[in-house]
This record gives sequence, structure tokens and C-alpha cells, in this order.
Amino acid sequence: MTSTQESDRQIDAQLLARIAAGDETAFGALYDRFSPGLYSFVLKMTHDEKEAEDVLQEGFAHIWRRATTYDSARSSPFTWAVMILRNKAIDRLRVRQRLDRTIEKATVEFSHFPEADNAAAGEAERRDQGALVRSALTQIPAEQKQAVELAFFTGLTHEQIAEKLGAPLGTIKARIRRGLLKLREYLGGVA
Amino acid sequence: MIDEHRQDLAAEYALDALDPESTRAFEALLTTDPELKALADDLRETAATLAHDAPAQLPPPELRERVLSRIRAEAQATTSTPVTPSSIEQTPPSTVAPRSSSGSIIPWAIAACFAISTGALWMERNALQKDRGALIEELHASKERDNLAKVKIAALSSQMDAYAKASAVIVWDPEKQRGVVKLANVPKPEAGKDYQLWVIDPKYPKPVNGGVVPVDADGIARVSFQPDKPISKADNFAISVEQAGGVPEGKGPIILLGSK
Repeated sequence: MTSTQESDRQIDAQLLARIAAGDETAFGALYDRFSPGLYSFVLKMTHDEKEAEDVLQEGFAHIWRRATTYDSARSSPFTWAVMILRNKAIDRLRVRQRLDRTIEKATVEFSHFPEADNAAAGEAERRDQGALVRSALTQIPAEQKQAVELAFFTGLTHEQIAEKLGAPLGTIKARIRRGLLKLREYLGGVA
Repeated sequence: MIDEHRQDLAAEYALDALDPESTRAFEALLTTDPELKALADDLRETAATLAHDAPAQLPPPELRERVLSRIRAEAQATTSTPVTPSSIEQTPPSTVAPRSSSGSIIPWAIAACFAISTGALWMERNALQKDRGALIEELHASKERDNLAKVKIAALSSQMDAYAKASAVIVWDPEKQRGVVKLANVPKPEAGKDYQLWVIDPKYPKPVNGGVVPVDADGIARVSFQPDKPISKADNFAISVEQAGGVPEGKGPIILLGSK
């Protein structure tokens, strides 16, 4: 971890501590630091601007309410925030998947019965990190990259990924594990 | 050395891919295995770094104020929760006697009681705040379930022989005022024409434009739509053939129509 990243992490952790004490100014400052990166991330997950805005709003409200639960020994503030928003986005993607299944089911049923009724500060640093992440992703085998990205961005379970890729579950788990371990190696100075 | 099975578990844990029971079991394991905990934490950091892979996009500027308004409202609601510190109210100011020159212990005892009761109230307030946060989350989850339950699904049937094999399904969310239309087995429209969706709402004298529905080479379409006007009641849906790019008012033949 570079000294800039360490410094960022300390600043973010201090802001979270103030947020936990109900400091609205600190919350605004954290929003300014995190929102560009988090919004881009959630938009990549949902492919829908409106939904990404909703997720960002819900996610930051969650950060406000749960700042007291942040554990600096377990993760950096940004990782903590990413995982909160990722889970919020996955919830929505799963609702959408249920909706898609409803549509598919209805299409099949009704196609047989046609008569029937009725998606700031520290920003430059994050852009650099983006370039490093993209570079690291090119260093790992394509099948591992695919499995890791599906697991992280789509909200699909490992079983669903196995089904989607037509590969045994054990193979998918191994690809994800190896992919993450290699990424950790390449991103050692970033993560 | 961590075996592959545990590495798999650490990777799944890092991605929040374990079910709740497995998560609890794995977290129990982490308390006894620092090396495994370090790996799980590292993998979580690594996974989160992938968020930087997204193309840079800025959120709309007004979203900041919406987020701040929301947390202000939540903070306000928490503050206005009727947690009446009875012990404080019942402590008449007169009892806080000025410190006597003899150094009486009474004021200190009163101050200690005050500090204890204030601390208890602070803890109670925090507990209430957490309860409220959990309730709000449950409310959001329940709202999502309700939203899903409220959607209307309509199947459209062919109105012309040329579209006898076509199937069309529309899912309409009245609350979000958005829907999805899916078509199958629909021939490509002739040159210069497009399929267009209409929403029939008794509030309006004419069908409301739902937008053009582009069909691919396989005769399939799946499009999200938002009608031109607010819809009070989507009584029915129709698809017609119109000029390419769509028209504000339908003039072409209706090829698919829902049943009322």
C-alpha cells in the first residue's frame, strides 16, 4: 500500500468515526470522496442510471446508520462501502432476475394460449487504481477473469455461474479462487 | 499452509457468496485461524478493488442533496423519538446545589446520578436508532416485494393473420411508471416502418405513446419503456405499425392487442 493510499484510508476512517458520532459534515465529505467511484461501480452492475442512483442513496443511508459497525481491522473504509453497495445492487438485480423469469414464464405460457389475458477528492487516485485493476485483469487467464467478474458484478451465485458457463461447480470455485489469488498478487500494492 | 478447500471458502466469504449458516461457521473458524482470517480479509480487499474497473461516471449533482436530505430526515426522526429523560426532568434545578465550601458530597452524588442516567439514555437512544435502522431496511425490502406483487402482466394477442404466431408480453410497474415489453415471432417491419407500443388509460381520450419497439433479426424484442404521460390505470396495451421513429398519435394498424 502506498503512502497516499494509507493516508486516504486514515482520512476515510476518521470520517467514518465522525459519522458514527452523527457528524453530518463528515458524511458530506465522505460522500464527496466515495460517490464517484461507487456510482461508477453500481452503474456497471445495474446498467441503469435510475437504479444506480437509488442504490447509491440506499447505500449511503446505510453507511450513515451503520458507521458504528465499521471495523478498521477487517477492511478499509472504501472496501466496506463497496461491499455495502454491492449487496444493495445485488438485491435489486435479484428482484430484476425474478421479474425476468416472470416475463419468460409468461411468454412461454401465453405463446401457447394467445387468447389468454394478461436496469472529487481522491478521484484521480481512483482513476489510477482503475488502470491498475484493468491491467491486472489482463494478466490472469480469461476463464478466471470471466468467473471473477461474473461473481463480483452480476450477483449470480456460484451455482448460477456454473450453469451459465456450462462448467462444474468445483471448476468455477477453483477459477474464482485462483483468479482472486492472482489478482491479489498483482494488486498487492493497491488492495 | 491453507488448503484449497479453505481457500475456496475464503474466496466465497470475500464475495459474500456463502449462505448465512456457512458464513457463521466460517467466521467461527476465522476466530481460531489468524492466517485464514488474513487471507479472507486480503481477498475481500482484492475483490472490492475490482470496483475501480468500472468506467468513470459521475453521479448527478442533485443526488448529493437527496442523500443528505434523507439522512437529515432520519436523524430528525430519531431525535424526535419521544425518549423523555424522566430522570432528568424530575431533577429540579434547585437540587443541584452550589458547591459548598465544606465540599459536600451531595452535589457530586447528584452529578454522578445525572451522568449515569444520561449514559443510560444515550445507550437507549443508540439502541432505538439501530432498531429504527433495521426497521427502515425491512420496510425497503418489504416495499420491493410489494412492488413486485403490484406489477401487471399483460399478454397481447394477434389482431392480424400475419401475426398469428407472434407473442407479446408486457410487464407494467404502476408505481415506477415503467414497464418492459417482450415480443417473439414478430416479422421485421417493412422498410420505413416501426412497431410502436401504446398504453390505454381511461384518463386520456387517446392511447398514450409507449415508444418504438425495435425487433431483431430473429423477430425478438425486449425493451424497457416509460410512457409519454403519467398513467393512472393501464387498462390495456396495443402495438401498431407506424412510421419509422414513431408517431405521437397512432394511425397505423393495430397488430397486437391485450384483452380487457
